[in-house]
Amino acid sequence: MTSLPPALQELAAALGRLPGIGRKTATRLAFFILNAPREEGEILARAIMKVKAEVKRCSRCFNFTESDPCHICSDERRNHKLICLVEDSQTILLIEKTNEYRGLYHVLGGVISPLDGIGPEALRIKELLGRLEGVEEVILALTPSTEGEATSIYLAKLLKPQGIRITRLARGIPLGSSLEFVDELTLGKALQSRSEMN
Amino acid sequence: MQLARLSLLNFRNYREANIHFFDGVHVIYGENGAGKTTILEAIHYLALTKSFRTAVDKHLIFDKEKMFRIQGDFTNRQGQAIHTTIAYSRDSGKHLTANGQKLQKFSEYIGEVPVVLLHPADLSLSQGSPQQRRRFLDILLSQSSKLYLHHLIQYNRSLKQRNQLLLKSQEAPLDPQLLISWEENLIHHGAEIIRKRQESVVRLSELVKSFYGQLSRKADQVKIIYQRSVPEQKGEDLHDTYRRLFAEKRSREQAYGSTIIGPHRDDLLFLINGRPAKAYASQGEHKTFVIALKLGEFQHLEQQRDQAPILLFDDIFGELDAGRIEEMLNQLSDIGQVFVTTTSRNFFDKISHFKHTTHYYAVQNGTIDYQTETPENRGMQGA
Ligand SMILES: [Zn+2]
Repeated sequence: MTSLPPALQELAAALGRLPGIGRKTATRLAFFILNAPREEGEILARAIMKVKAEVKRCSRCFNFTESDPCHICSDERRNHKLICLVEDSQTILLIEKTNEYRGLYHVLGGVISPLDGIGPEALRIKELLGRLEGVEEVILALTPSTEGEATSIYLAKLLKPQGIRITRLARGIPLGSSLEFVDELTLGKALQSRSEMN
Repeated sequence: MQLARLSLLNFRNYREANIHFFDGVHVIYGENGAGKTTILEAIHYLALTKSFRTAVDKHLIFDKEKMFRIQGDFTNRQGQAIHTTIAYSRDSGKHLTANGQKLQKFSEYIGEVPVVLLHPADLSLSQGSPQQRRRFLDILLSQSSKLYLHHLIQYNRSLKQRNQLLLKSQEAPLDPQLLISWEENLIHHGAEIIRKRQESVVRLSELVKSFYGQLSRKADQVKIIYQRSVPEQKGEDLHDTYRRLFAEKRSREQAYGSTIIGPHRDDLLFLINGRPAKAYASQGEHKTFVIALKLGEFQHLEQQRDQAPILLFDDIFGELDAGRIEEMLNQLSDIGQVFVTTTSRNFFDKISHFKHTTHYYAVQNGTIDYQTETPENRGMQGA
């Protein structure tokens, strides 16, 4: 079997590191890019460069943004006494679509998972503690997995002594489903009927 | 529950097979290693998305092929069709499709096609390890309640996470709140598991007692007791007992590096006339107990799912003769579908009054052929 030219190999290897892309798909994509007109390749390359150069994390909520602070953190009409804690930026998009929420966010950056070597220190908990002044309520909106649950319990115990109201999404969410698959209506309802955490 | 058609592609030693089944008893006969058990294994896989012979799915693939596929066309008691396809490939793992819908979570599906399996390993259920009895109970309850299976999956995941923390705490001091967070998870799911097991074992015990009495034709009193590591305490909520025990055992658990209380440490105690079967029962009594237990499993599942489970008897005739099997089937009002593997075609011929319709399938080297139905006059021949 003849091997691929090194440049093509390199591209396939890079694509293969993307989530959900296996070795075969990566090779197919690499060939597609190679066969496409030159401009196509440049559009893709520029888009990747641009997103890396211009999109950064908001220094307050750690959502992706092109301006710092982000448009949510700098929106005076939003309720700054309310913070919704999410695992990642994608969840913010989902919650924003529901039009039920007018507070701020905080992107935790994951959930606690000893098996994956992720402890509290790997998450943006210190950053959260640093922005609690004047905050009255924190809504925990982590994925309802065992790891999300344990993280919620850990944070509730940590935040309670600060005299902040801690709530979590109502359990209207289908059993064990990950937040990504919850439709907007369910998520909207879950936000409205959130419950106190003991 | 009835399986009308089973098709296999690259499954173990079957390159390709397409088999039709009927009401009643199916006798699958052939030499050892021909692929008899594989048919039962495929049916079990369609029901529970797992083999009972191996935990490694890639071992089920024919030779050097890339994937295997099993399909089954079922009809339930209510007349609804369930078309299940499970495909496993070396590249992309396992995929389950039920009635055209691709299911991400197998737990949403398990229980739709209830099965009860009796194979040689089961004959040590009353004498073997606690793990074997927990497995028996978990398979039964997972098939009867999707909620149980949900809690079980979450519990096992939390258990692994907490054990990992306990191990790590041996090297460096640990934030106790972190451990408590996982304990709260274990308590939440574990309490549901305990509650459901307790309630089901009471019912199972009644069923087994009645079957045992009919099988042994003696007035022996049989009982099953659920032995829990988090006991019931009068006047104390289960969650509180659980929490208290965690607090008491935490330092010992840290020393062990694993969680020592909870439903994953529980057991079933089998009693005959008030004495533990494990220590006092004769080999004959053990066999009768296991049969009664399996009948109890069948009946319990039938009541919970409103379906007669599919019965799978794999190669148990070194231990139980045809007469025992017949006796067992006669205990059930609706046997649904039964699949039996044996090396001898005339297995049931010795029984002159065997009342169930029997279909014969010859297995040879990865092929299976439908032979015949019971001859009408077999009763006379056998007598
Ligand atoms: Zn922001």
